[in-house]
Amino acid sequence: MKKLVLLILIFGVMGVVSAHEADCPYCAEKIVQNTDKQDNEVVVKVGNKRIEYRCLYCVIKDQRRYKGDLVVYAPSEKVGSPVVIKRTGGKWVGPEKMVVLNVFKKHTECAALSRAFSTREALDAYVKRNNVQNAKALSLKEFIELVEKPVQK
Amino acid sequence: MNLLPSLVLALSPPAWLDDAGADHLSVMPAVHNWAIQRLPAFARDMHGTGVGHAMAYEAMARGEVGSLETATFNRIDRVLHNPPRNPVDEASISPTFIRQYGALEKVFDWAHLLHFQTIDVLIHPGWSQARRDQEIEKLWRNYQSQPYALTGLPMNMEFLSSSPYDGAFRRAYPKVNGLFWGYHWLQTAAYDMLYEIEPRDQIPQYVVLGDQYRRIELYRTNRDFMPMTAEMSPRFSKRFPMIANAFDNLHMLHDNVNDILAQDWEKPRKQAEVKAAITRVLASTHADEEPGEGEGLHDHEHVPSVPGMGKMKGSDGDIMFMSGMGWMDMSRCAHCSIPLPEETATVSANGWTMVVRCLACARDMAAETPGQAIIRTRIQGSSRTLVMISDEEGNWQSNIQGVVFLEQTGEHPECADWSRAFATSEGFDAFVRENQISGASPLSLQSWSERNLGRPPTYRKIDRPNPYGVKD
Amino acid sequence: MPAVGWAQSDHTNIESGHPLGFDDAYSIGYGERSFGFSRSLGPENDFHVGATYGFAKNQDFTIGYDTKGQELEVSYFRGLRREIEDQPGLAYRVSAHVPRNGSAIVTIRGIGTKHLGQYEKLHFNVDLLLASDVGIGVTLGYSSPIGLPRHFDTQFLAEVSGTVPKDQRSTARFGVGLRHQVNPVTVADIGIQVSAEETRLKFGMSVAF
Repeated sequence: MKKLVLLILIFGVMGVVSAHEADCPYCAEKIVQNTDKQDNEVVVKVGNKRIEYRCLYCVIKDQRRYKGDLVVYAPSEKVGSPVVIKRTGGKWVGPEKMVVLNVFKKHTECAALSRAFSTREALDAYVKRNNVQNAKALSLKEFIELVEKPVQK
Repeated sequence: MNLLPSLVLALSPPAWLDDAGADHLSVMPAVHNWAIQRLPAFARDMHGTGVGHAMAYEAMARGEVGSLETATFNRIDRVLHNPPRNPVDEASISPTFIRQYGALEKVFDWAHLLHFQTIDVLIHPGWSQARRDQEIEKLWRNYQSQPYALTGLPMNMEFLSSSPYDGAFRRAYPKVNGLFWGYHWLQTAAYDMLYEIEPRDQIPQYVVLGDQYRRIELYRTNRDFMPMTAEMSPRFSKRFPMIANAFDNLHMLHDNVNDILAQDWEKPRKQAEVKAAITRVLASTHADEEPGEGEGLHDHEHVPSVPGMGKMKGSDGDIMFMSGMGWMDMSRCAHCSIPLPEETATVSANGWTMVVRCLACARDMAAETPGQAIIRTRIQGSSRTLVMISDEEGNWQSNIQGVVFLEQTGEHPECADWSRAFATSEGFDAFVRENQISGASPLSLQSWSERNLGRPPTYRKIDRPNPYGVKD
Repeated sequence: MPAVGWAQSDHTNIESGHPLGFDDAYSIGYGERSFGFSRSLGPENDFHVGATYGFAKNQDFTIGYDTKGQELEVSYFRGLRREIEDQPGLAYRVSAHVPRNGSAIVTIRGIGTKHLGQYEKLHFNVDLLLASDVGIGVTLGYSSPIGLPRHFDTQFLAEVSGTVPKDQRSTARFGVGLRHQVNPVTVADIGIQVSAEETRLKFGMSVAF
């Protein structure tokens, strides 16, 4: 029984992580795997499914295929602490202080340049550390509006 | 590897390749003929594949390769969106091609006929599986009785795709090549949709597979290699490896021919190369040879745990590269990496089909894959194969009402024991009692659907570079 | 030209009597068994039934019965070659018509089929009648698919034929018709034949089994 409880605990923690490395359902680029220093896999929980995407932008672009409510575990600046955003009844909600970086030009860069952060300071630190050009901190609302504009990538 | 030209010279093409007769053959008379029409959507898509093949070949034979990716593609695409109700006479769509490559058409049509008749057997209602198996064996013997028959031995796919002109067609005409591989996806994926599955459970599966075919598979241009029968239909291929091999050899012949026709050569050279390509895969060329013997062209080595699939590029024992999935060990569960038991389940999603050890592995693998999914497995207490279909959000439906599940979670090496399905709760109770499993209660389909065990600790990713070098 | 194994009874494989009077240069498939009937409405109505068996590659045998002359008919068809490059497909048919009252008429028909352009075909039939009234008949047939590249189940046919029976005036005939694939094993046909003596409406069906 102890072993069973332990396994359930392990599975509970790892439940949002896919076993298999696949291509992003939206951009078809390889999903960048998590590392010891940085999480990269964006996981969408919809109904009984947990689907990995390459970046937050890809999730928003692909959201219309899902009719039910969504929970998105977006990798943040901290390993093991994703920014959790939800689409409930079609409305997106995230943590109050979260911000989004979205400055990629091609999808080969989207995993690094379309990311969520728990705070503005965390985004600034990431931008500085990675020398990101033209960075702008977007609120979740601004980000979604930007992505849903048809002229966007 | 670049051995083909020298070996081709060593082969002498059979005399019938130059026969002037039309040599038309009919289907073997049988009560099951054209049962495919009972699945109208599937039948129409299958008939559409014939039109697609023929239109592309006609354009190539007429020297209209410049229009392949534009006008010809559009013409084919229009038909694929509104495919014919009846089988088509490919020769009437590609008369120029037939006048130039008549022997090739004999080979193609004879193999296509085997395709259709085996499908008919699997759809024809009222027969036991044993009867179907017998009939398919009979069809195979009938197929092999003609000189146009392709070998049922596994062929080394790396060898067959090692000519200097290999890949010319897919590089120059990716959209039309995508259509060809899309047709071959449909033709190979269909078998597990039908095999050991009652006709009433076939139609709902084609709602899923047909949508995948028409929306995605026809337009994929990023496949590393053609779809292989044992990849797409592992259950059927395990039972009939010779047929799976023959279809793969047929599809490889299509690829070889496409590459030849894409060359800027004079017609006599193309005709000679096509004859050589036919000769390489004919049953008569490999008469009296055995799987696992020979070298080069006669190397009939197969992936050890998959006798219905020839050796693939870069494959190493049971480890092979599967387009869209990466490196896989074919002797192990695709989800938990534990060796496969005799009884397995398969899960089909996003265009692939994987063999897994248990229903939990199948469900969890489907749960991390976008789109609808299908699980197929034999279960205790029913002669009917369990077929479950999930929607985009992982809500499963079953063809067996009242199906219940045991999921007494333990370690994955035993997952085939603790994750099972039963046709009835009485069957569940009997199994639990017999195996003295304490504290187990049957899970309904909905409760089972909502579970997810996440990444199996036993899963081992095989990290090697793509042998086709198309993607990193 | 029928392809191997597609429709068993194939609308593109033209047989005399369904609905016009000419053949193309191709037998039914090896192993195929088909049954056909045709009804002919004119000054004298006529009903014909027949069964054909592809007993060998490029060869078939037909046995039929015609109500008009109460004739038993048997015929043997032999395809000699398919169309290859610019060379025509060639075949012959030997038929014997045995009326209930009267002597048998044997016809030897030479057949050539050649594409004219991409899809249209010409079919040249020359008949030598061996009977009390030995004569020669010539038919020029034409066939073309209707509906390409979207539809693949109908052929348009036309013919012009002339017969020169011994010691009689020659007769000429013109006909048009359609062959339509109803399902994988059934072809329906309809046509009209016009000569100075009569106008004939024809329809029929062939079913493979």
